[in-house]
Amino acid sequence: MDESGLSAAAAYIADILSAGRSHEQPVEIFTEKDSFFGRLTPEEFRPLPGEEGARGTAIDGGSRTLLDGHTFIVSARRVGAVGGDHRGAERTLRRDMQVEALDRHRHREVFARRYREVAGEDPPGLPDSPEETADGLRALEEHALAGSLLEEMEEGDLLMMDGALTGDPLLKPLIGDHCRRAARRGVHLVGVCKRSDLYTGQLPVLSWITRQGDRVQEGQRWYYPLSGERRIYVAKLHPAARFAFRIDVNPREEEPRCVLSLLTALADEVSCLGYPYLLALAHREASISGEEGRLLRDQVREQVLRQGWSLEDWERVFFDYHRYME
Amino acid sequence: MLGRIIGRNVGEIVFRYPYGEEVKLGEILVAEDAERETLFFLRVVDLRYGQEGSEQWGLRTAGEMMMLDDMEQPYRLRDRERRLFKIGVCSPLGYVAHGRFRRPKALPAHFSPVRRATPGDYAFLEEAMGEVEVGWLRSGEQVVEVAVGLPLALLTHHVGIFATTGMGKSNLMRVMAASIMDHGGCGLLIVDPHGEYCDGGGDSRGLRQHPRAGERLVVYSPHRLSGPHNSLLLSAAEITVGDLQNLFSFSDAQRDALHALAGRFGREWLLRLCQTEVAELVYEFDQRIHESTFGVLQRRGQRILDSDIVHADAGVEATQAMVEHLDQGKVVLVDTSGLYEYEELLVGVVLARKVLGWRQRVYRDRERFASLPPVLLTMEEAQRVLREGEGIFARIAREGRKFKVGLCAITQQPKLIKPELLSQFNTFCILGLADEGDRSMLRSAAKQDLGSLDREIQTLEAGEALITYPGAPFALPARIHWYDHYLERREERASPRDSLHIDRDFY
Repeated sequence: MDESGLSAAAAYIADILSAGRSHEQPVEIFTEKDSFFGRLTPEEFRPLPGEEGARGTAIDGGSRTLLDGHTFIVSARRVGAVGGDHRGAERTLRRDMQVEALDRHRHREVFARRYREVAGEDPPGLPDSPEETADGLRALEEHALAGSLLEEMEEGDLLMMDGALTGDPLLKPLIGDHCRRAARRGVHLVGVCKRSDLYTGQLPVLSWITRQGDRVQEGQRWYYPLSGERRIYVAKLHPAARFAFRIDVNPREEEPRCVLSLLTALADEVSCLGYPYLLALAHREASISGEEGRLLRDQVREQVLRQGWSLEDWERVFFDYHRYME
Repeated sequence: MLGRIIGRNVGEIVFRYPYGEEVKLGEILVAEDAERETLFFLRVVDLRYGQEGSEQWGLRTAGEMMMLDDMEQPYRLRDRERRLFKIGVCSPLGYVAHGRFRRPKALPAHFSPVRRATPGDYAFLEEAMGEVEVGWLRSGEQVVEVAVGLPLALLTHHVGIFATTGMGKSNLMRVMAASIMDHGGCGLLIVDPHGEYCDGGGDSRGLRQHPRAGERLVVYSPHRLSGPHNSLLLSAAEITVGDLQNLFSFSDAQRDALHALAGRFGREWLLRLCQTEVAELVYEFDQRIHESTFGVLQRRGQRILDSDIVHADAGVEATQAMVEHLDQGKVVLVDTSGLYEYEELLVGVVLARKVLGWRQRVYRDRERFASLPPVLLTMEEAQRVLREGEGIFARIAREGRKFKVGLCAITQQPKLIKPELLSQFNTFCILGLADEGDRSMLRSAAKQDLGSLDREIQTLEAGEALITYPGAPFALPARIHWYDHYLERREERASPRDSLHIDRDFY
C-alpha cells in the first residue's frame, strides 16, 4: 500500500481541524449548487435562550434505490410527518410508499409532471440524472406534504422540514411559496440539516463554527447567523449536545432568534439531544430500511417472473461483473 | 390484549409487549389463534428488553442520560411506548382445541394476540386436578381461583417436597394433612421433629384445630401435651437388627454379629445384647465373634435402650395401634420434638417397616387388601435415609406402591438423594431451590419437562410452588394455601366432601 497517500489524507483532515482562522470580512460560502457571502468570526456567536414549550409538525422523507440497471434505476420513496409539542408526539402521518422506474430518457419528464401536480406550474429546472430525479422527487413529496399540512396548522406552530430551505434551484419557487403562506398564517417554517456541505476554500464551515462556538459559548446554547439575508443559522439547541445544526429560518420571519429558541423546547430529547425530536420521529416514519428495500426488490422481481421471464433474464438486466468478482 | 407473537419455534415462543406493561416470570398467557379456534397456553420463562433501533441507540441514549445526570441537566425520553418495548420468552405448554388439551406440537398463527389467561380458560385443567387440594393455580404472582390438588391415586407413587428453609414446607405439609383429613381415603403418617404440626406455632394454627381432628387425627408424643394424645413408646422387642442398620453404619463383622444375635435370641436380641456381659456373649457364640465387636454393638444398643421412648416391656408398643389408625385412613402425627436425631429416625424406621410389612402380609388376602386405603409416610430431611440404595425407605421407594404405601420425602437437598430412588417419585412439589445441583437433579428426575423453568424455580417466593405429576398437563404453578386460610375457607364452605374412599379396584 502507498503509505504516503494515507499520510497525506490524514494531514489534510488535521489541517482542516486545526484551521482556526477567522474571516472578519465576508467570504464566499459554497453549497453544492450555489453560494452566498458570510463572515466567520467568533464575534458573531450569540447565546440562545431556551424555551419551555413549543408545538409543531416535522416532515421528513426517505428514498432508496431498489434496483440499478445501469441505464435506469428503480427507486422507492416515502414521506412522513409527526405532530406534537414539547411533551410528546400527538399524531403521525405516513404516506404510502411510491416505487418508480427512472431511466435516462424519461426521468426529467417524471419530475416535471410531478412538479406540475404539486406546484401547478412548470419546474424552474430539471435534474441531471435518474438518481438526482429520485432525490428531487423525494424532496418534492416532502414539500407537497408541507403545503397541505400548512393549511391545518395554527399560528405560532413550527413547521420543521428536513434539509435546507435555500440552495436547491429546482424547488426554489415551491419553497418560496410555502415561506409566503407560512408567514401569512404565522407558522414558523424552518429547515434543519442533518448534514451540511457548506464550505469556503478547503474549510467545512459547519465544523469550524461548531468548534468555535463550543469554545466561545462553552456549556451553553448558542447560535451563529451565517447569512442574515438567507436566514441561515448554525445553532446548538441544547447545552450538552455534541452537535450543532445548520438551520434555515423562513426569510420572512421577523424574529429568527425566537424561532430558534422555540426549537430548543423540542431538543431536550435524550435519545437525540440537541436535535428537534419531532424531526427524529419523522425521519423514522419515512426512512426505508434495508430490509424493506430487499422486500420491495423481491416483490418487483416476483412480478417480472410471473409475467413469464426467467431468473436468468432478470440477472442479465442487472448484470454487474463486479459482484461476481467480490 | 397484552402483546403479539413475534416468532421463534415450537419449543420457544417470543412475543412483544408494551413498555408500560408488567409481565412476571412464570405467568401463564394465552395466544389466541382465531383462524383455528385454538388457545395456546404459554408460560413466561424469560423477559428481555426491546427497542426500535439498534443496540447502539440504547447504548448512546443511556450514555447521554448518565452525562446529563452528572450535569444535573433536565432531559426527556419521549414516545417511550413506541420506541421501547419488552420481549417475553415463553415455553409453550400446549393448546386447547375443541375443549381438549394437547401437548405443544403446533405453532400459533403469526402475530397471534397474546393475553392473560382467565379462570375460564383453565376449564380443561379440572379433570387433571387431584383430590388433595393444596393451593390455587398461580400465574406469575397472581392467584387464579382454580384449585390445585395432588391426585390421591398417585400418593403411593411417592411425593417429593423440595425447598430451602423458609419456603413453606411445613405449611404445605399442614395443608396436605388437612386436605387428607377432609377428603379421607388415605392414611398419613407425619413424623414431626420440630413439634410444629400439632398445635401450630406463633399465630398459626395446628392440625388439632382442624374441625375433623377429633375423628381423623391421632397424636403420639413423648411429652405431655395439652390436648388428647397417646404416649410415644416403642418396645425393645419390636426393634429389629435391620432397623438399627438404618441408624448406624456397621462393618461386615458387626452385621454378622447382629444377625447372629437375632437368630439366637429372636425378639429378645436387643435386651440380651445389652444385659449380658461381653465375655459371656463371646462364650455364648463359641468365641466366633470378637469381644470388641460385641463391645461396639453393646454400646450402640445401650443408646437405644437408654432412650425414653424405648421400653424393655414388650407389651407397651404403640406402633401396632398407629398402623391400625393408618389403615382407618387417619392422620397419625408423631411428635418427635426434643428427641435425638437417632431416636426420631428410629421411630420413622420402625413405623415404616411395620407398615410395609403389614401391607405385604395382607397383600395375599386380596379382599382385605382391597379394603385398605393407601398410606403416605412422610420423612423430613429425607436425604438422610435415601442417600444410599438400602434401608426401609429405599425399599418403600422401590416397592411401596404395590402395597399401597407411598413415601413423602421432604428435603432441602434433593441432589443428595440417590437418583435411582428419586426417579421413583412421581409427584414433585418444588418450593424454591437456590442450588443449581438440586435443580439439575430434579430436572432429570421429574415426570414433566422442567428444563425451561430453572429461572422460575430460582425466583419462587415463600408459598409459591411448581407441582408436577403424571397426568398434569404441565408443571403446575401454584400458590400453596396458607393453612389458617385453608381452615377459614373450609369453615365458610357448606359441607366438605367426606367419606372414606376405598379403591376396591386397586388390582
